[in-house]
Amino acid sequence: MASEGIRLGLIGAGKNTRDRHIPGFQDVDGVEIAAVANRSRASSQVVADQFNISAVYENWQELLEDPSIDAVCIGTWPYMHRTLTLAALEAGKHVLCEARMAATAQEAQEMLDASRQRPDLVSQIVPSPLTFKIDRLLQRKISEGYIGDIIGVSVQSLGNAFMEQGGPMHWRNDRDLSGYNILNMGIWYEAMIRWVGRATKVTAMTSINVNSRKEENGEVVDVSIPDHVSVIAELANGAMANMQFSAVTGLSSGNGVWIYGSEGTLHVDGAQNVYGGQRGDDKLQEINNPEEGRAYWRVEEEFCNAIRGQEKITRTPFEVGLHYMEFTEAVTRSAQTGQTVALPL
Amino acid sequence: MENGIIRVGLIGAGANTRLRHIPGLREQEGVEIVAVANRSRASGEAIASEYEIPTVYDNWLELMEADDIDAICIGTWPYMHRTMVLAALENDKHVLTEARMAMDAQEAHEMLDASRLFPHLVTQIVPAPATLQVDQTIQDLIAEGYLGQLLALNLRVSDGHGRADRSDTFINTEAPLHWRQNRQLSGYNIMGMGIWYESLMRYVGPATKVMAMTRVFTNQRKDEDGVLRGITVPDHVNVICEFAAGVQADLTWSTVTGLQTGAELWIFGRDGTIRVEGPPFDKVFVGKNGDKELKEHPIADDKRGKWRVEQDFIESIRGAPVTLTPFDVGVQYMEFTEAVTRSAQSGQAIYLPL
Repeated sequence: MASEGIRLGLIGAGKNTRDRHIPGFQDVDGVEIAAVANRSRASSQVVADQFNISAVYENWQELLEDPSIDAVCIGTWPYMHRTLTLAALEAGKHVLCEARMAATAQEAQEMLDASRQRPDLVSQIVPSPLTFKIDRLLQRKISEGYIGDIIGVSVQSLGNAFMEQGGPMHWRNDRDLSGYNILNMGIWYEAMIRWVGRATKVTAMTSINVNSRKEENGEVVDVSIPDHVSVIAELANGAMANMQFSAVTGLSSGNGVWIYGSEGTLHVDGAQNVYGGQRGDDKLQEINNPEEGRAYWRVEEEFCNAIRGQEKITRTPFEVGLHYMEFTEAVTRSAQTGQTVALPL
Repeated sequence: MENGIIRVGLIGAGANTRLRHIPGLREQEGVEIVAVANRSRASGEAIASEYEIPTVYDNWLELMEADDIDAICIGTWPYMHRTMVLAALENDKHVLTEARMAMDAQEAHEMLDASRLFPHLVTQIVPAPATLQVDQTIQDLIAEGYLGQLLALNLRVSDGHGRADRSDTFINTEAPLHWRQNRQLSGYNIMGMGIWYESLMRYVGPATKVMAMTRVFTNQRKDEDGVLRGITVPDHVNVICEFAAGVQADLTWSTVTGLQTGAELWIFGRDGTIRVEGPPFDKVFVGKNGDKELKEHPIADDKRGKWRVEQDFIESIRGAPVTLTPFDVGVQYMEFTEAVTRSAQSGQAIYLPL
């Protein structure tokens, strides 16, 4: 199929699929979004009508059985990612799977194993886009030795709103749908891997402050996914890290990253302006971050290029997805047991 | 006590004793500093002549045995605090000891136990001073329910130990060994951790569960004799903990985070948020649900605490209760301090009290 047309099927067509993936694929030459299977036939039909998709399937099995489909884009919630990915690979279809990769590290491992059984097929996770603007600048500064040896990393992803008991239940609050994923921890960790590499030891505490929410039908349900997470970690490069994620920190300082080295410091503020300073400086100063040097959203293009043999998946291969799922699970295990958890699991 | 005059002896006369305690005691009526014992007779004599102290003892034991001393001010490094406090009490002397209370929790408990054997004697630890100006205001805001149910607390301390400027905040392998980096002298105390925890307890009470990771980045320094020594007191500490009040906290202390200085404290509640930064920690910023941003909360003059350690000590000897800082509070911060080290060593959560 080298540079021939790619016929793509959508399984799950939620917000990110409609806002990002469909327009992204429509921008790639030779790609046809040929089929869709959403939660119900009716909801599939709405998407099909909106985006001129010719085939609507009753369910995902039927879509995967269609021999004319070359590749699938999985946009469901995490609880189905493993099942759908394995089925798609078995059906001989390339897979682009929405982030968070899976519900657990075990599932992520199974997905990676399955992908290795099919080296002829492309397997890709939708990358963490949070820090595209700054990833390359931080990578460049660190590899140039601007900060020397990395000593400490601090990542804060703090909401700005006060907690509200009894709000609507979201799939991100539902452990059955989200597994061990908490807030946006996994994708921040994925971003952190790009700058400073992986963690080897994880210690965590979590709390659930908003402990009940309402389903769409008004039923009150318990919440078992934390809304406040404190993580401290040791990194393979010898640095110490602390990471904090919260949805209950009203009027907080928001998001921020600090990377401390033996010779310099890098800081990213909530608007992703980057500041730096070195030994001998008396303060941090903004570092120019020209737009042309920045990474950007090109997930769908990368997926299609990989299918055509024109590039290798870098954002994000299943291996990296497994790394963040292991970290994610380690956080929960450590919080549950009160013990430091070593990585890899 | 003779004719109502309180006669004080100084054991160890380092910087804080000379800058704070001697002037502070001299401001009190009916107090005389009558003797000093420092590390050597020569250094004791230098202090005595500079501050006009009549008697110099060869060592602390001699001072302890003097009948004409009512109260002792201990300014040595932590490794001697327990031994000296116990001896002072046995010699029927009131005792004010410098912070950090002791080397470890066991020593602190022994000091507390000893103090209870001598209820007629005052036992006091020099309190955490950084936040005195804002303590009352934060306590009031929390007690009035400004924050609602307490949820979370963040504290970042980039502890420069009096470094001259920000460019000095990077890892420094050339600096000499300081007693704070010497475990034989400092025990489990790490940077300003214990006194910051003492401040936090004023707002949210004690912690119940501690998990920590620590690192010694500057792992060798030269001692006074120029000998390179390995260092076991961390210079970078990450702590996560739960407080009895339901607060989950992230606490960090470091002396190696370049271009980061001072400290920043956030307390998050269900309905409101408090932020304090410094030094100087002289302003409190607050915000409630519905506000767009934090704003400065006015502090009435009579709510601003100040350094009054020596006055407290003397007033306590004359019958007032010790408020800052009694030995039982010192025990709590020493237990926290030890829990941090134990957790970092074992990779396990440590539950408090020990």
